[in-house]
Amino acid sequence: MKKDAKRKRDYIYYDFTRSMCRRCGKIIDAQIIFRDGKVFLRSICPQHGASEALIAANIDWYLKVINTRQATDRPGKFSKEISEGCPYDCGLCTWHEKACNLPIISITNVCNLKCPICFTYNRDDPEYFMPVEEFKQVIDWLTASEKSIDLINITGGEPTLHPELFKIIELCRRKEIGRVTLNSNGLKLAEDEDFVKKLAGYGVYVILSFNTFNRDIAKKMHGADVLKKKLDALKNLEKYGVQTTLMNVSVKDLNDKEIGKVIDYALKKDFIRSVTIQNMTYTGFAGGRFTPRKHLPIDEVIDNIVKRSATVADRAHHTIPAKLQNLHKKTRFSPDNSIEHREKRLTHDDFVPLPGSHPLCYSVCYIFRDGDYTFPLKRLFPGDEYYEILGKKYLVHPGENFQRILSDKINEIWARKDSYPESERILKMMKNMIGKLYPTGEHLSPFERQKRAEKFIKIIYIHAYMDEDTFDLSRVNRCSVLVPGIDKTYIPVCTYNLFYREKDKRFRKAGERGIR
Amino acid sequence: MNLDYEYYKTTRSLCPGCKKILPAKIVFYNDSVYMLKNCKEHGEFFTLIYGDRRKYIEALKISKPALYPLEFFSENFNGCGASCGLCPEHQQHTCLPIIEITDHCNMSCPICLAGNHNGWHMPVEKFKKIVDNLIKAEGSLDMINISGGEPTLHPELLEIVEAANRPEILTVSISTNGKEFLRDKNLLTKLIDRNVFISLQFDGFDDDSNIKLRGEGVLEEKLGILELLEKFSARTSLVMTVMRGVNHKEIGKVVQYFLKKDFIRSLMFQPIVFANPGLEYDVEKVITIPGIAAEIAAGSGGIIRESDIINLPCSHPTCFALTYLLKLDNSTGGEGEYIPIPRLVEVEQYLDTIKNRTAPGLESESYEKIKNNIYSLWSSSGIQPQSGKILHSLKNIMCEIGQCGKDMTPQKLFNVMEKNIKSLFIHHFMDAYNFDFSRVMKCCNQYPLDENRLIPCCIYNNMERKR
Ligand code: SF4
Ligand code: SF4
Ligand code: SF4
Ligand SMILES: [Zn+2]
Ligand SMILES: [Zn+2]
Repeated sequence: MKKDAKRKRDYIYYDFTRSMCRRCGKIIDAQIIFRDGKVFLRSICPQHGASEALIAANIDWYLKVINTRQATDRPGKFSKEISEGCPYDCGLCTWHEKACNLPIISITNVCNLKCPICFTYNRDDPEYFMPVEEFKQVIDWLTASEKSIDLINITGGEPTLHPELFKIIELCRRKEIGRVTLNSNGLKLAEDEDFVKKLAGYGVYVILSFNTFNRDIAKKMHGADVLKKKLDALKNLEKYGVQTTLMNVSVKDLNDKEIGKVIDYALKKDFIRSVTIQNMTYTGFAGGRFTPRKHLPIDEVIDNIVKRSATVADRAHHTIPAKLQNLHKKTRFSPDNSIEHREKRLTHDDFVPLPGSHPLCYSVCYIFRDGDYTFPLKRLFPGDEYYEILGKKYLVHPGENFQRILSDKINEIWARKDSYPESERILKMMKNMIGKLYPTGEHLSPFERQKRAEKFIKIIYIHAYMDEDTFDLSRVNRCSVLVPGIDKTYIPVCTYNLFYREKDKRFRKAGERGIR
Repeated sequence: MNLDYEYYKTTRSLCPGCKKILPAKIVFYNDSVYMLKNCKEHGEFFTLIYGDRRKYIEALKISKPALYPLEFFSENFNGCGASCGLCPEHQQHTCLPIIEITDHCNMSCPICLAGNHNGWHMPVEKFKKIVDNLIKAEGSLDMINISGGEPTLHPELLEIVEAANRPEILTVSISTNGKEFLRDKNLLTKLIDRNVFISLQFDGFDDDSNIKLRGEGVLEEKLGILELLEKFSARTSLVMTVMRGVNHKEIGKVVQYFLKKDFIRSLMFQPIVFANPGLEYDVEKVITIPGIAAEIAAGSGGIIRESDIINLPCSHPTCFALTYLLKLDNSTGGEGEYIPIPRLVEVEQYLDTIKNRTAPGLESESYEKIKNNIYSLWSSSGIQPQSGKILHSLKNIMCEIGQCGKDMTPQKLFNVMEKNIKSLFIHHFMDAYNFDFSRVMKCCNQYPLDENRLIPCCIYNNMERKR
């Protein structure tokens, strides 16, 4: 019998979407394809041909997250009708699917570093500092249009360089706003202890960019010898108890294998609330030029964490023979495959898509923590309760549901102690938590309860922004990380970075063309 | 749109009003799958595209790598829908070309998606060129389908059939309403002599629904045509267009009939397509693959389960679903019984067997697989309650294959398999309401147009066909 002469493609076409061409910036047809066990976005430009970007390292993971049931959380208000079609109608236009979780306001483009990995706008010609009055206008419409805002994120450039920073922070102290988070590269925080003290006084949360404990790698990523400064900044933040998030830009084959160490450090420290890992995004003035361009998808970051982070469950209880204790300590930050160690590490299953966000945009892992004791929340709540706890937003919202879920779980563990590892310790932790969050006879505001809950919960976020290679219209209309403008519009960060920034007059010289 | 749907993903579709390309969302609502899109001029459209959320998700996962054609007739990709074709980005070769040889018709069905003008017949020379080009693109073809209009009205139909009678083409099928067979008694035998497969449009045993779908009560004629087909043992396929609330309750009866009649080798269900401008869109009338599968299962008297009907991994998985039924040995008397093949073999292997093919057992690789499956079945006993019978029928297949021995040609193998296996398909063509570019990109059914253009049927019907 004649052999079939037709050749097989070396990939499987899974889906169709729309993406963009890195070279001409046009919105074009794209395929989601499977090849060699991995998932790629294949963008096909009629003029510039096809190009492929890795979007998931593992097909099974991709299919699992993409098909996870998603919370619906549509915006309460829109400012535009659909006209040119996504992404040209930002925003929010009525095509948008997700309410704001996280408003990001860039108050300057000035920076005291020139990091080669930077993918926010960092050209400071011309210099721009947002006038306080303008900031106020933004906050005014934000608070008028959203019932309640968990947080306002202030970023830059380097926002600590804004001469009127504290006036800006002051403006955010309103009952509708839970907190202010402030991005920083840490230089100012390292050098100016009083500044940190003042931040603490204002209750500001700091998001410190922290990529590595390795001096050489830090040099490569930041373009300057900054490790010592970063460590000093941490010291000051700890000293004044400033609630801190470590923001780790993970670059494949540069610092990505170090993520376990960063997480271990964060888990140990009281002042560190969460770790946000941002997969390197090859866009913007510096990031767009960064080479080599190796996309690091979320599941590969999870893999790095799983392989390299240390114990997350009970350290005190867990039985390592005395003579191995030293060895255990030594290998604390390095891969260790002994059984008891492995079980106590984070696993792939401890991470789930952040509810309401696109699964390729965000993944999240909650870890209970009580003093020295840590336990991944997903293992206690493997079912739907987990999503109830996560809610639809970026931060935990411990309402009455949360109390009920915790109490139910306590009863369950009580009844079936044998089927829970370390049940005594978990019970102690959960009771302690209920006592603090729902104290009898004391009224707590939702924001206050949220803050208390966070003392018991460490969060690892993995956030994969899009660049010209990974841009996907299926993702962006579900974006909850929004840039509010003075004109009462919101623009999702990724469309802002890729389509609107180059038109933002504040940041560009007259007549200058887009950078791509 | 204020419904509390769950967003799934974004794709592209068409406006049913102006046919412009529109962004579209795929969303879940009430455990079904809907498409949501918005035209500046014609407003919002919220249309059912798949009746079962879970099955939709599972179907998408079974996709398999596409085969390249030997030649792309269109060199550049200019955006999907604007470069057919096939262009190099197309994700399947031409599995089943549908050649429309005339726009004459002796009926005027309200649901027709062709839009006939009774003004044109394809010259035989042109048909030959089309076939030449198809062979250039495909090398060989399991089947080509001749359609219309009503192809039996073509004055040179036999010449056309003969032009398709080439070693590279295994089977020719003709899609027909069958009326001409009643008028011209010799036509059918001439076609049978030329080994043509008859695809008869048959929408059920209820004339009320025939009137709604076809504009006339054709049942009596259809029964007469079926009688003829049976009398001459024509290799027959029934094609049933299904509209919910009109004839979907006929599905069970048609399945029963199909199982009873040896001359009917395959049965094809086509959910209603709202392409005819005279046909008003009505979501109550929409039926999708899961809805039809449920009716098949309910009406088959326990022979076919919904899980036996598997989406096709070589087309887009939501375009086609199908099952094959193996005839059990009936030497002990009584009517033939059938068992769905997916229950005999591991599903994975089954998918391998049917991928990129519309009939099983046509290439040596899948032939080997079927043989292996049958052997492994042989060595394990008690898989099914009637396993004694299964063994008998499998043995018969093996004997027939064995007899053919070394000079087994594809044609012979096809005949053997065909006699013992019935196939049941669901093919969900698209209209502008459910049109989805993610599906057309992987289309395996194309119209060969002019000399060398192959265009996915759904692109042609919705974006290019003149009505
Ligand atoms: S990103 Fe959102 S707001 Fe912007 S155009 Fe798309 S749907 Fe509209
Ligand atoms: S349908 Fe196929 S041939 Fe036509 S443009 Fe799309 S990919 Fe190309
Ligand atoms: S003709 Fe339409 S429904 Fe059929 S396979 Fe092609 S795209 Fe899918
Ligand atoms: Zn281009
Ligand atoms: Zn329109």
